[in-house]
Formats: sequence, structure tokens, C-alpha cells
Amino acid sequence: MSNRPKPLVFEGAKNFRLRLILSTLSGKPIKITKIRPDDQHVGIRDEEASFLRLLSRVTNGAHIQVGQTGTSVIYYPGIITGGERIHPCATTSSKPVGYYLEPLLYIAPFSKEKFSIKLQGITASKEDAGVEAIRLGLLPIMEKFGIRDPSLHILKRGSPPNGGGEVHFLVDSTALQPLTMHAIDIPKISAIRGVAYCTRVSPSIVNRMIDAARNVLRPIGVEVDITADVWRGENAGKSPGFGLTLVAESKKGWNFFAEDIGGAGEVPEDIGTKVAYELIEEISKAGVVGRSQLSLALVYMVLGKEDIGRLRINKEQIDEDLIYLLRDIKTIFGTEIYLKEVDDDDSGDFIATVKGTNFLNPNKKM
Amino acid sequence: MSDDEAEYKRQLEIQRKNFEAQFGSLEELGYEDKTKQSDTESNLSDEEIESYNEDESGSEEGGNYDSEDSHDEEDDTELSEFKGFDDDSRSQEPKPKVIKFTDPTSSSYTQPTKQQRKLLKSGKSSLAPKPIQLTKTKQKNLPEDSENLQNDLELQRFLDESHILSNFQNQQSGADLTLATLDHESGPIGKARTHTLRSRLDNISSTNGNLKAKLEKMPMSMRKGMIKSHINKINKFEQDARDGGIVLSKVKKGEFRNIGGRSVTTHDRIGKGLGNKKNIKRNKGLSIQSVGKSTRNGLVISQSEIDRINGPSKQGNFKGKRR
Repeated sequence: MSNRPKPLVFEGAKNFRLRLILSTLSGKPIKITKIRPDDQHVGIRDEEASFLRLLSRVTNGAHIQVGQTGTSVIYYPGIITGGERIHPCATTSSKPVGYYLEPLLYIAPFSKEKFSIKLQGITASKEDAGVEAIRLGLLPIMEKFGIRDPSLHILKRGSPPNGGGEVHFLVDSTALQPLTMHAIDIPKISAIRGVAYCTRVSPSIVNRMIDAARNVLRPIGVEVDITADVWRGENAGKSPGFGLTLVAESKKGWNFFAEDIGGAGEVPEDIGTKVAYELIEEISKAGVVGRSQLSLALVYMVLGKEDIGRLRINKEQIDEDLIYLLRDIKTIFGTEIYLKEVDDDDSGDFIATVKGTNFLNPNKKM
Repeated sequence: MSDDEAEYKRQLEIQRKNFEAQFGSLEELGYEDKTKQSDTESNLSDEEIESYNEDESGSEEGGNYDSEDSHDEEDDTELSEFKGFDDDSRSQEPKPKVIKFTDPTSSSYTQPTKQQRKLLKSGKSSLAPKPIQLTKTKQKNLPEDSENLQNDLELQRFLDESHILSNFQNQQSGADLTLATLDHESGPIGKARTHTLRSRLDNISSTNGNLKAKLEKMPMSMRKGMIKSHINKINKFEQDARDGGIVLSKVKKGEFRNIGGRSVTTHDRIGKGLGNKKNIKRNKGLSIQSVGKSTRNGLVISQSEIDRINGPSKQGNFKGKRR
């Protein structure tokens, strides 16, 4: 224990999952202190505890110490083993499987065995990424970075609040390291696709969502193809619910997405319209990747080989979250991202250039 | 109202709004909302009182009409009565919220197509259908394809039977001359035909017939001699290769090396090889410490076993002998 390196110290509950993920990737231990010390519910939440459990499930040799009050966590990372696992997400919290799944995307390609995990719980929520959003929005980013055929199967849907869903995330082939990215052109949208789903409610609801979304997207003039996905019976989970995910696809493989689910008292028409407008807004505020995809792309770029990677980002994307992300990356990986204004046009966009840290999957033979 | 007072009231109002935003309105919580009371009191003007009177009179009038008509009339009077209130008081009236939906273009739910369902189930990162037209055109059966297939099959058969044909190629018979004009498409003639037919039958029957092909019947000593000479040939071949520094391919255990020039008849008489005589371990029961061997004559216990159980005899001790 004494020969272990001193952990890097972070404060606050922000970016909890990402810090742990970056620590796992870099192999550097971290200590997170002052997790909600003044909150009514002091310390780490149920979902965070469950996430720690999940991390120890997919890694080998990880050492986690949670302080007595729960306000501090010391994490010594192990090696990412992957394999076939099942993780029941915390039933006491309302966080969906997307909350757990999103960080796994960062580490899944660099595991020892193939990464195949089944997550059980709620499959959709208002705040966190839905299953479809991860599948159609984030998996393409992984593919762009050279990870072959990641897939996410929905075995059962589980709408909030009772859940009862199950998803299977599978990355068959491990990668040595992500490719160096040179994306300096804003992709052109070629089609808008989407999935409108409903569980335990009338199937006409999906049609109403689709119609409303189509009405908004019609003037754009690209192909709009929204699939209706109606779930019945056992696999539809324990609660009724519906939702819509829209994805703007480009020919080069970059995607932008927007999603929402029906909450209490909301009508499908509103959801359809709202998501369609959100998608348009997302496209307007996106560079090469959308706002919610940026952190995954940047982390992969940091992991890349010792070469300069370039990614065009929009001015609007530089917000609080990005700054927090970059600070965490700097603390753990010691690398900085250099933003340079584009001089080709007056769009005000930036090119984020970053030198990779030459991360190599320790489990993969050269 | 002085400025200070107005400012104070304004601040109070802001505070109230903040409170209501967080906890809901006072009335919902079961308290009286004094601000509203004072509002309505102050706003209640003579005009409104008049309208109340009107309302009463209107309802009286309505009483004279028939049921359906009176209903309409009442509505009208109510509307006219509402005009008397100002905006604030109207908002207090609980009114049904009217939401209109345009009918969906397709009223009934249509199942996604098979392709769409496949894409949904696939779990892949894109819902875009794969361009599969190219492969589809390939699958179409063109006349050339069937011809090619036919040729492939014939070539396959020819390769299989080439050793038979090569064996009998040089054997000319008188019949060949007369049969020169015969159609050779129908296959080989003479002995070659017998052998090819046999090999074809064997091939077909090998699918679910008895796997071991029976060798041609012949005297045992002759067969032994054939095998011996064949092994000699193989040894010579291998020796030559070794001398020449040629590395030969490995041969399956128990099979003859294919050295070429083997006649069809040899193949039929001595087969592919001697067969690998595996040393199959017989099941001798559990491998636990046990004594004796069970034979049909009963349990047989050997001397060594007796000694093993008894242990080294004390008399025959080395130490004792040295003394």
C-alpha cells in the first residue's frame, strides 16, 4: 500500500463518473473529497455507489475506499478486464442505465476480454442519456475513432419510475488505442432518422410524436425517417412511457442527436415538436460533434497516439462543462487542449488541437 | 400612497411570488390569500354589482323558455355577465383548458417494416439501411452462372478421377480404334469406366454408408507382399528426399505417403494405409489404492502386493544386516 503513488485530489461531486473513468484509463489513483458536505443527503448518492460497484465489476484489482460520511472517495484503479457481466443498477435512485453506460463507452474498447455487459434498470429519463441516444449518438463517435462494431441491444424497455428494463452493451473487438482524429470540416446532414418508442401505452402515441416531429422537420428538405417502436407485454417494463430520439446523420459518419421522453402531463405532440426543435438547435450549436458527444471525442483524442489531433468545435460548445472536463483532463493526463480560431471563414469556430498521450491498451498484444 | 409604501408593497409582492414559485399558492396550502381578497374588494365596482343584478334578471327570463333554447340563452347572458369582470377575476374562474390536436395522418399504428425492425434489433450504431442492392444483383441466377457451376462440378469430378484415368490412359485396346468415332462425352470406357463408376458409388455411399471402404479380396500373403513393397518404395522416396535436402510434408499417422504413380489396383488392394492402431486405454476401474486383480478365477493377490501391505520386514533390515 505504501508504495502506491499519492492520489490526485479533486473536490466536489461534479464530474464524478468522468474523473473515475479518467483515473481508470490513466492508471493514476484519485481522491475525491467534499462530496456534497452541506447537502441534506450528505455524501455520495446511491447511483454513485452503484457506479463504483460497476467499476469494480469490470476492472480487476481496483481498490475503492469510501469515507465514513461518504463525502470522500479514494479510488485506486485496476486493469480493465471486461468480460461478460450483469449489473443491476441502483433501484433506489431514479438514474437510468444511460447514467452507467455513458462512462463505460470510454473504457470498453480498452478491456482485456471482449466487453459485454447487461445493465438492468430504467432505460430512459429526462436528464441522462437514453439508450437510443447512446446507441445512435455516441456509438458512431466510437466508430469514428476506430473501434469496430460496438452495439447496444435493448432486451427490455423500462420506463421511469419503475423501470424493469435491460440493455446489453457489447464491444467485441478491443482496440490498442484510438485513431488520431483530423476533423476540420463541419459535416453536412444527409438524413434525419429517429426512433419513437412507447411502452404500455396506446401505439397511436408514437404516431402522434412522429407526425409532430415531421411537421417541424419538413421544411428542412432532407429525408426524415422515424421508426415506430412499440413495446408490449413482458419486455415493455413495469411503467408506461414514451419517448423520441432524433438523429441527424451525415455521410461521413458524424451524428447529432436530440431526445426526450414523455413526463407527467406531457402530450406526445409537444414531445415530438420539442425534440425536433432541439435537434435543429443542436445542429446549429455543434461543430463536428454535438455538445453531448464532445467529451467522449476529446477524451479519445487525448488517449490517441503522440500526434496532433484536430477537431473543429463551435463557439457555443465552450461552456462550463467543457472547462470542467478540460481541467480534469489536465489534472489527470497533464495535457492541454489548444483552441485556435478558424481562419478560413468567419464562422467563429475553433479548431481544438490536442497532442495524444500515447495511451496503449495494456491488455492488447502489439 | 407614498413612494416608500409603494416600494414596500412591490417588494412584498416579489417575495410572495417567489414564495409561491417554490411552495405553490397560499390557497392551495389551505390559507386565505389576503392580497387577492383586497384586490377583488377594491375592484368590485358599481358596474359589477349591476351586472350581478342583470344576471339574476337574465336567469329569470331564461326560465320562460324551453329547455334547449334556454340553455343557449343562459350562455349568452353568462357571456355578457363576464364582460363586467376585469381580467383578474376572470382568471380565478376554473375553466377547462382546451387543447386541440390535429389528427395524425395515419390514425392507426402501422408496424415498422421488416427491414426497420431488423435495424432496430441489430443494436448497431446506425439506423441507415445498408446498401444491399449490389449483393442482390449478384444473387440473381444468370445462365452463365449455371454453366459455370456445371463446369465446376465437372472439373471437380475430373480431378477426383484423374488418377484412375491416368492409370488407364496408356492401355490401348483394339476396341479404341473402332470406338474412335464414339462419343467420349459419356465418360471413360473399359476398365477405367469400371473404376470410375466404383469410385463414384463409393463417394456417394460414403455420406452415410459404412465408412470403411472394403478392400478387394485377395490372398493374405500377396497383400502383405504388396504392402511391404509399397512401404519400401515410400522409404526410398523419403530417403531420396532427405538426401536431396527436401523437406516433405507431414503424413497423417497410419497413412501411406502419396508418392505418385500408384496404380488404381494397388489402391483398391492395400488401401490408404495401415490404419492407426491406437492404444486405447482400457477402463480398468477406479484408480484407487486397491489390492488384487479380479479375474474369472477369483481375486488374485500378487506377492508384491502382500509385501507392500506388510511393509519392509524387520528381519531383512539393512541396519540389522550391517550389525
